[in-house]
Amino acid sequence: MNQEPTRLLDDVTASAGLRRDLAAAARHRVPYDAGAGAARFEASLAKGAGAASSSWGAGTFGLGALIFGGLIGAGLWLSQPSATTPPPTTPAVAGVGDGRQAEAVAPDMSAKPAVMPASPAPEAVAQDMSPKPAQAAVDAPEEVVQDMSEKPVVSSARGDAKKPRTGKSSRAEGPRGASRAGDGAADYLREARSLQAARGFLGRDPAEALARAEAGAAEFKAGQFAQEWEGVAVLALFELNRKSEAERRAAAFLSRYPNGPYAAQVREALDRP
Amino acid sequence: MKDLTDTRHTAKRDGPQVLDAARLFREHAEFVANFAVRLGVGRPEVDDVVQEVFLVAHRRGGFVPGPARPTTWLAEITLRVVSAGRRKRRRSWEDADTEAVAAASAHAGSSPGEQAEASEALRRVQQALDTLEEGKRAVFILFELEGESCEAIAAGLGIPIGTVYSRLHKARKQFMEAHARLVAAPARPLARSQTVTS
Repeated sequence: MNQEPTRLLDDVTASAGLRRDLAAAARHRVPYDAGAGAARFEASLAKGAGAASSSWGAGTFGLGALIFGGLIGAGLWLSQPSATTPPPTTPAVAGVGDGRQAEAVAPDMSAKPAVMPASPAPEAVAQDMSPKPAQAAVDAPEEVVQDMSEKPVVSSARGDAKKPRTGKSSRAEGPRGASRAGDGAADYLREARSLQAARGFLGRDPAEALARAEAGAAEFKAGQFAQEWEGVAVLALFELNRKSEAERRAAAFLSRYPNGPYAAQVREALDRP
Repeated sequence: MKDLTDTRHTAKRDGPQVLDAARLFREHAEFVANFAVRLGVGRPEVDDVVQEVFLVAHRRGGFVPGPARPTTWLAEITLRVVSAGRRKRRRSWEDADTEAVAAASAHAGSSPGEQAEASEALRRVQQALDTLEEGKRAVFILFELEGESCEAIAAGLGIPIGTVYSRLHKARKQFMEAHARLVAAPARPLARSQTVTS
């Protein structure tokens, strides 16, 4: 049975009401602020949260692994004094750019010279992914959800990796953590915030949204959010009822970014009578 | 798209085709948000779920093109995250369903009448979805609402294609029955306890 079933939406034998409802649901996209979400995600990555010591990993898996690894590592260290593990773990981590991450891990490490998890820390983001894709898939969410409201860890500054934090502190932490990652990240965040502000005018002041989108696109020519700026501009044009310009730019937008974060909204705007 | 992160955060993998998590986020965050809401995640939790999904994606090393599509691959992660979260936060997520739909319908129509109609349609669909067990619900959403192929769903969720057909068949039957009930009694939202059936 290789033939794809007919979707209910297209199935003329299904009731009209059902198809209409499904069509509405299929068309509809939940408003999601991709710019703000991306900024937060970036902040997490900048802090190394995507690695084994992510916001959830540090709280559960990471801590357990650290202790377990420390015990095993200590044994290995004793049996193999010339092990290749780079001893000065703290400076190496600190060099990454997010000192707090390093400080969070360091206390445990210092107690156990051979702590294995120490050396991967600087490249944790890249390294952590490679080993076991399937395994991580199975385990991670279980650990993750525990911490779902616990955002990037402020506690690291105090070297306290054990206590999970609340959402509030982490939300505040995100941008700060990212801005420490360097100018690129700071620009990125500035652009993300500007975009978010522009987007906020959609639905209530499209002229302002358009003006901000145009200004943002001009200001951040080499920025990260070219398609988002254009997406906001196109949506604003639709709201301003500048049909021909909106449709022209929407077509160009969709051909260039058919699967981008704004594609569905632009399509929806195009479909509107 | 440009990479969201600096080079330190770019996935270092062998194949040039690997889509790193930052790029995945850029292209599919909205899909994940929608999928999560359709799975019953309340609006206040959506961003947390999205973040988590992409952090897991990041930990997995990004998406390697294959039989699955990025969306169905992310759907599998989302399903796991939501499923685990639901066990731990049952009340807040379930209570948030209606709110999620209402919030989601804010931009649905261009006139108040159309908005109300679209809002009702979304509410019916969401409540009918609520009657489905998670596995069936995921397949139904991906196939019927997201337009994914059965093959991509099977590859993404890691289940045989026969299971996709079977789940889809059962899900449709259950969904249509629930939808018919809702259409017959539009003003009376189903209680959660009534809607969750096996």
